[in-house]
Amino acid sequence: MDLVVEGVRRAFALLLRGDPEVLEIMWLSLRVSGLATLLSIVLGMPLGMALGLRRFPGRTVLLGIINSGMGLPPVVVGLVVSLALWRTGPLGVLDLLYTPAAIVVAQFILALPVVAGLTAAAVQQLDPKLPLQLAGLGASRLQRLIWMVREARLPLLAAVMAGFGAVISEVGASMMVGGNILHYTRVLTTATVLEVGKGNFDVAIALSVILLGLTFCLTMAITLVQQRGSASR
Amino acid sequence: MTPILALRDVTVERVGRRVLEAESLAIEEGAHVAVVGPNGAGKSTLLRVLGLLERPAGGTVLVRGRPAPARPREALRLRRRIAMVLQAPPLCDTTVRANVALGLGFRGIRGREADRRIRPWLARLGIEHLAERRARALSGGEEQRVALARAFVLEPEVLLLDEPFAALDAPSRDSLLGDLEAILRELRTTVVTVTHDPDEAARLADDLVVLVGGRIRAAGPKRDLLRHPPNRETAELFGFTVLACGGRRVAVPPGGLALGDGPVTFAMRVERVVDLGYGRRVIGRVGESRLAVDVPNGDEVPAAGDRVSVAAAGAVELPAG
Repeated sequence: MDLVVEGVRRAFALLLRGDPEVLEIMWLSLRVSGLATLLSIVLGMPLGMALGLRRFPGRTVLLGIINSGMGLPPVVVGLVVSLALWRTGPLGVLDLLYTPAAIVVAQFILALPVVAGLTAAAVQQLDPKLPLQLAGLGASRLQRLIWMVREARLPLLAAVMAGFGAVISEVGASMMVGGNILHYTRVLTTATVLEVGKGNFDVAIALSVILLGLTFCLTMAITLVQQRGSASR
Repeated sequence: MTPILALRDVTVERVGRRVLEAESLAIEEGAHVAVVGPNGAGKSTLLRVLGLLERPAGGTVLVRGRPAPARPREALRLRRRIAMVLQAPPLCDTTVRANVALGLGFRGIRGREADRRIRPWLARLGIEHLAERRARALSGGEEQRVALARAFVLEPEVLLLDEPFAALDAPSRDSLLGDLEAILRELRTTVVTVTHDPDEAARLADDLVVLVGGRIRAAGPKRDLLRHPPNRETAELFGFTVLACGGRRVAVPPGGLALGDGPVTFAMRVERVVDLGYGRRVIGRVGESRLAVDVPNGDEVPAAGDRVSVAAAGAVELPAG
């Protein structure tokens, strides 16, 4: 118990002091996971909408693959990305292994099925007559899409939060493809594992508190946006 | 005059099954038309084709005599002169005012100009006081009023209404039907209403289209069609009782049957008597046809198995075939 209190105290001390190493690790975590989430939104939302709204051959199988991908083990993704980026691997020429970019790639693969699968579920919950009704009022294709997204905004923002939550918290893939290199690819989760290994439990707890705080702040910001438009009387 | 909308040999198929086969249909400009038919007759499909929201598998949709364009951009321009209100229309999760402004927004009409067009329709449909309310918090009748206002503000050349009262309870339906009837009487717009209810059809339209099993079985002015139904389906849809007598078939208008003798009398074998509370319904057969005669409380009622006379007022002969 004393250890936890000491850890929390230490976390605040590190933050208030503006410890450059901790700030650097925090900033990298945020950038890497933020970028991975953003990429997964750019690709995953259109994919999810197509899966949710359109009917085409192979749709159910693809949806099944995406849905099972929501529980993709990070170490498996880490392994596959490592093999692909390995010097002699198919993408070895890119020389990306043990760089922040490699972590982004791995986390993007982890977040993509989460975002796409939850997006598909979100748009399938809409009234199936909505597109037709919007068209019946003179909506163009784009205008229809905008209003469908608007109508599904609550579950769509939940998809964003779930995607970000999945990648900011994973450690296996970051460790394997990033290598936990100080000042380069060390993120909050890999740093925590390292400190635990060294027996520095107070530092590990401090890092965990920072990770939780960071996740909470970001998710809270999205939640505020999400709930602003839903206050119904 | 060229009809504003016309169908020529239009067919629509769903999973290989033909759900609509309209050889020819013309909607004249300014006409108020009701499309009547039983459930699953293809009424909503017909409306979607008329609204250029569904391309038929075969045939042509003519807008003012010219085939509807296939290119999305040109089709959109035409579509924007038509407004459609779906059955149980989905409203968007925003305020009533924003919902009513939706179609105007699609056409780039916003701000003061949109407000100027919205206000009279909110008043006309009695939903002014709901303008800032969220659409999700409305009753069924209020929702339908918002959906109608949303279409009326567009001042469309053609207004398509799919079962505008289907989801409503009797009091909201009656009050909205009265309001809509009054609005349509003043409106020059062409209106096509789909309904399965003959009363709604008779009150909202001057012309009727009878659709049964995806085919148009009758079309024409309400007066002609309901004075002399051209066929059995039309007669039965509008509540006529069809009776066979001596190789001919006659249709008796709703309320035209009474127990007793009259100028036209049939012999009915009583099968059962149902207590309606406010009266009794005597159900029986004349030849192969089944009929029901309502009798007020206090009148003498026959028993099952009896043979009684039924007087038919206003009976018209149905064409053979």
